[in-house]
Amino acid sequence: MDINEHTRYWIWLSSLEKIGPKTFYDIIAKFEDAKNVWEAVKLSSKAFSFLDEKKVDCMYKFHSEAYIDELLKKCDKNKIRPITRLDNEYPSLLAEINSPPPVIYVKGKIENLTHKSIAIVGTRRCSRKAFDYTCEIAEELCTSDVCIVSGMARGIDTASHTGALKAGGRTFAVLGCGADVIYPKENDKLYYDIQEDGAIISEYVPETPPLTMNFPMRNRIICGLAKATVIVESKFKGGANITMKYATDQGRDIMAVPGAPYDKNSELPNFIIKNGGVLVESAKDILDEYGWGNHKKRDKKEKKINFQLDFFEQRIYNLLLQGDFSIEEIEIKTEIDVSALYSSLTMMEMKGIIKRLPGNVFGIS
Amino acid sequence: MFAKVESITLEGLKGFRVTIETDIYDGLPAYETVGLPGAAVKESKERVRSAIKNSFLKYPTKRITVNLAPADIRKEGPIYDLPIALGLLSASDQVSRIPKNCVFFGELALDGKVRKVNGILPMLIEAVNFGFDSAVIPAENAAEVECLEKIKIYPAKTLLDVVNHLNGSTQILPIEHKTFENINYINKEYVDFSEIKGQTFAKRAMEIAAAGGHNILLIGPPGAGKSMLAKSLPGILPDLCFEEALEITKIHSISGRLDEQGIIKTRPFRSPHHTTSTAALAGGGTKVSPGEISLAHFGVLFLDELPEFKREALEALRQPLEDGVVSVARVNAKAIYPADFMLVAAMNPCPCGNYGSKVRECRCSPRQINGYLGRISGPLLDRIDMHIELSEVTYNEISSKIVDENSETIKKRVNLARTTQQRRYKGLNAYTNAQLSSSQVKKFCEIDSSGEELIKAAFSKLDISARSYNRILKVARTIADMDMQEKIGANHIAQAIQFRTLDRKYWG
Repeated sequence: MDINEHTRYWIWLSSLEKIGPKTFYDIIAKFEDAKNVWEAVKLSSKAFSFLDEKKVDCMYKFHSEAYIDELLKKCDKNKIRPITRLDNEYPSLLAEINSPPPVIYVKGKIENLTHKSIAIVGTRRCSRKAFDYTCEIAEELCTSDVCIVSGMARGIDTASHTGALKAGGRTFAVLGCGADVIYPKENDKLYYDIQEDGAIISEYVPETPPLTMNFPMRNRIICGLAKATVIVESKFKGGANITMKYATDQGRDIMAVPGAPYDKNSELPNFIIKNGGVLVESAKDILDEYGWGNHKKRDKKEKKINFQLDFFEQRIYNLLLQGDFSIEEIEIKTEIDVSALYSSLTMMEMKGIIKRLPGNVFGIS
Repeated sequence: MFAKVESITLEGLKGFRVTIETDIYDGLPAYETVGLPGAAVKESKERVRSAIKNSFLKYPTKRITVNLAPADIRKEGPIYDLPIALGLLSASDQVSRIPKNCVFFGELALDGKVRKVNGILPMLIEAVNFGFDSAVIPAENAAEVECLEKIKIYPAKTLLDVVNHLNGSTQILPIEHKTFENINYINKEYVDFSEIKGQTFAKRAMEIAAAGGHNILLIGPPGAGKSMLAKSLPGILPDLCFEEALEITKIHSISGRLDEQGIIKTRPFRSPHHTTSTAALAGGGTKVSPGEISLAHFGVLFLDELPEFKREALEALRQPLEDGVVSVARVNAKAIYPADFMLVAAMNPCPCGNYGSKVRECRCSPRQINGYLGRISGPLLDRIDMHIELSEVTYNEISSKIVDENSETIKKRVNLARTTQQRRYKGLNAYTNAQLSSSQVKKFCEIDSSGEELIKAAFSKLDISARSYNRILKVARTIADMDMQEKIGANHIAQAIQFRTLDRKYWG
């Protein structure tokens, strides 16, 4: 990897654990260039009197060419590209925010990220419906050439990436760990699929483990990369709330998918809508907002006509249209005799009308 | 002087005659026990001496040799105190006659009282087989042998009583024979089905499990009522017949677990804790004794928190689950104990317990859930015909005033289904659907054409594994039996599939 001196020291300074983006820009403002910082460390520590001791210590401790070489080697090995704030490739939307990450480590095709991008975030513990719905929205947005940005966490994040990939779209995941670390583990397929046309992005050096404290910070990159942030399901407190606050600070648009008031996971979206956020019912709402138009409604597979229901099955079907129910609830509400009920459920399951979920719960598939 | 007293020893449930020979001769006072005595037998000389002395009898201050023949079988326990004492007294002419056809058992207290011992019932049954016609046993053991026929049983309270009885001065009255039906048995343990609110799905599954003798695994969050359901199961199992009750009582007699009611008339319910060792579960120990699975013979073995059990302990269940007996071998003993139990296992769906819950959140990753389920080995799971999920009970269900069916009503249906099965399997080694071998499944689990189509479709559509095939058929057979249907229909199979939750892919 050929890297000029300038970039080299820029990466060095940004990689130091104790030096966050804000301190980084403070130092650069004083010394004008990262190279000058490197030289200054060589000379005396007096020049850094405006910093606290720990930070200065850190700069001295890692003041070695070998350290930088090793870092770059790690990037090379994992096919990670460090992109500095000064590079042309640096996403311009991200560059606009307050103290943007001095360096982002990228695995994949960051050049595919356009201004036509939407971040979708929400709770890790989402309902099945929210998951499916998020998938659908992401899929539709992608068919209109919108990039989807999210955090590859469980729940809504996974749904938005999955949906985007289903449409063959471009999707970008911002991680709270090194770009080479797959977290959570079960998303490893997703991790590789994302890189096909999109990218894995992280401001942390390779091999950084997923530390809790990293995650709030990476949320500012998620909304920073996107024109607008859509929040699907979330309790009032949580990662989505942090993302929302960053988005507000960055002056980005915030949108939300409304939920039922009795559902805890509707707290945040409904709060956003109440406070002037854009209400999202379908992908069209988002596309219209920016005039990204020529929205092609996906031809939904009409599955209803394919099956015929007998009397009992119709009753079960009508009930499940209202939501997911446990087998006991179905029994009480439909008043069907147990043996008939259990066999009807199996039959409907086999026809693919309903789905069996953990906890002996059934729902429409 | 020389005397001979008869007794019995047990290896497993099998008895051996033991003859206690006592010889007294001149020389320096000494006492020697020979014939492979265990520690408790060796110690008996102290108890015997004090008991004789405190019963106003004379302890011979001579050279004494006690031999327990045959000399190649190990004898354990304090049951030979009484026969040894009688031998001594007989050899020293204080007892006039020891009947040849009588067996003696009993531990002696220092004051001459005869104490309760373990294993009286199986030993007396064996004594009858050996042709003995009378027995002297501790009075406290009388309750467990009330039903025995063909043998006169004299309950002894003290050593002096026995001596007087043998000398003909005061007779001990033999215990009155009671028929099995006449014995009142008060049942303390069970939960009645009507006490369990909600959980209609699980209750139905328990009924089917009882009707076909199927092992069942309950999966549900904490507080869903898994233990309660398991405890209620013995109450809907068919009543015991005399032979079964006798067999259960035998095992419990050996391990000294009988209460004052004597013979056990209900199906046992055993729920060992998950820290249980393999030996405690399957049987064994230095002094070989029946394990929990034998104590659950003809009853229910409930393993709560199944994945927490030690792997070896669970694997030890595999052979007994197949054969209905467990053979335990140790360095100095081996024994075969019956272990024909119904296995009811319970577990949480994931380490935190809330996977699939509507109320609480599960904090486990899919990996953790997989790992948790993976602790139960495939071969063990293969021996469990039914696995069902329970959901938590809602407040409305708990507070509901609706009176659910009680155990008695359900038991009637179970009995009916069992009778059908017994008639069908007459002359075979199976008597419930669960016990069918794969060739027998082919023969007896006939499916009608619509059922055939359904099961084919189920395999492709629902990702059911091939090894579930026989299990589903057995359960469907039971459901058909409960419906009084000769052939298994589509709806029976459809229902059976509902009771196979672990076949589903969402378990990873």
